[in-house]
Amino acid sequence: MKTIKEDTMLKINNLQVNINNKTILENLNLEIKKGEVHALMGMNGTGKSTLVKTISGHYDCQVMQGNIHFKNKDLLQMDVAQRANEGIFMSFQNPIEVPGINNSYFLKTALNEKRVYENKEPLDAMAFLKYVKEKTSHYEIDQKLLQRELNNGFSGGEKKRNELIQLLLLNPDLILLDEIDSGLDVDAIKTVANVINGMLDGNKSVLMITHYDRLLELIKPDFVHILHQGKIVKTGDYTLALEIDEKGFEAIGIKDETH
Amino acid sequence: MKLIDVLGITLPEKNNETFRKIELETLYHFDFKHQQAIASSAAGVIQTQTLFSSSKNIVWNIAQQLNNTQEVLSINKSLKEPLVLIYEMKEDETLYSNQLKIEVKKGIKATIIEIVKSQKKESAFIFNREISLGENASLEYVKIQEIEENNSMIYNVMLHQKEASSCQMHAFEKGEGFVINSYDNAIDEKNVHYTLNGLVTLQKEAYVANIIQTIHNNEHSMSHINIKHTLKDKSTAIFKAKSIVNENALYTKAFQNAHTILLSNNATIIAQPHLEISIDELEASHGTTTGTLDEEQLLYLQARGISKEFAQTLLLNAFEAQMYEAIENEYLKEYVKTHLGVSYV
Repeated sequence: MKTIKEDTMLKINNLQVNINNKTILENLNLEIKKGEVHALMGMNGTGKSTLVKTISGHYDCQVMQGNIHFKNKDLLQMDVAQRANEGIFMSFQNPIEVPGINNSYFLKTALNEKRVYENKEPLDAMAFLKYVKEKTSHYEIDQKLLQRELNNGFSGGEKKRNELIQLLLLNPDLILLDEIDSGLDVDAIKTVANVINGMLDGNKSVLMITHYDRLLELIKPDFVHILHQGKIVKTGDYTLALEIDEKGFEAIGIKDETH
Repeated sequence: MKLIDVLGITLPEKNNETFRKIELETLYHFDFKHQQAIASSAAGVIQTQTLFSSSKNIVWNIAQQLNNTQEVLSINKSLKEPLVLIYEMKEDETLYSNQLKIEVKKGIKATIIEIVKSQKKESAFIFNREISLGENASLEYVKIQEIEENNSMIYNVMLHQKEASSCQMHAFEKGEGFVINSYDNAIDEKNVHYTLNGLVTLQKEAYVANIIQTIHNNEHSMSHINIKHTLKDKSTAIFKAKSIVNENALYTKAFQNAHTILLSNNATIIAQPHLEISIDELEASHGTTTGTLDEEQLLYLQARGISKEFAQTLLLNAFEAQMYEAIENEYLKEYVKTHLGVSYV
């Protein structure tokens, strides 16, 4: 096996992913180092969500070829829960409603599963509530969400805030954001950016999908990748995102072939 | 002795739609070594009387043909805590029968739990429950069925509700045996509320059939039938609900729901909701859903580090939780949760 450098968080080599027997990603290579923020841009249907779903282990995504290493471990050998407990967090584009499961109970369960995985003592109810307060008190996040059923009847904005609570509590190493800004107002986007920026301590990495320049302005990416027809066709820095925002994808030679 | 040999007991005809796909023959032809009437455990508050009438309901007549003594539990003052009646099979290959009339007098509130259990083999319970609620009376009733495999049970409920009475029934079917439940309610008076909640949690080769008939004959009454099934292994559940709304039953509310989660390829659900409506001035609906656990929900929980097995348990608990939370009386709810070891949040 090729040795991966110590500061590499995620390394993807020659990845081919099919969904329903259709190739969505092909010959995709990507390396994310500790502390880096990467943004993934591209037109609709180019495979952006498929990439983050593949990293998190979504059952839709069938890896046909290539490999993914996370913190020098073979990610493709791990199930979804193991990947999460190893430190991968995917913020869902549409967080699922789970009636009948209390949000606070869910969060405590998830947190304690991770603690047990890391050979730490699980937190009791009191310690958990203290931990929640400690982690969320700096941000405008309504703790009343904890008393409700998991995402059940939440507005779009509340669902995204709930994703942020999970993100803060689980404290992952790699944060995957799949359009976390969609459907959010300007203030809520600021909260998202504050949470992400507050978590970036030089050891955590981010891979985010966004169409919205406001979020990129607030969380400045180190790298911007353009995905087209399942491949990364261009990589640049934040100025690439600005260029696309100003002139569109056609200006960098990408045509929308769906029209 | 065999049930089929007892005078007056008949097997349903093959073209009897109510009993289609319900396998009563094995029970009818099983040769029991003993037969006995089992007494209700709340001695002192129960009187007995002799019954002479018979019913059109085939399964109702079985207990009556075996033993025409009916116990009567008459509740004249409101009870703060639930009255608990426990029945247990104590012998193998024994046919136990019990007929109980529960009377809740005018304006009285009562809560009752009946628990039936057995660790014996090849035995059967045949139970009839006649429940009479006086005007403005209110009964919240729980049945917990925990009979082990190779045992059987026929459990019949016949309800009589006076004006503005409320009956909430909660049935928890947790056993592994063969069970037929029959619920009959002819609502002849106004402003009657009737709720039947059932949670059918089966595994191995357990079999539970719920046959529910509700007839609305008067105005402004409500019936709500709501059964949930989770079926593992080779278990089978049958849901047959018929609600009839006659011409005089204006402004009736009649609802039927059956939701099923199949946890094995070999588990079976037969769900037949049925409404017969003769008027326009009403609210009525019926619905059934059958499926497996929601894959998206499972993935969401797993994506937060919860193992697949634990995530499945959490989702099943969530599916079932509504049936525990539907118990209104807090004493009753606590008793049921404690008895069944329900500890999730």
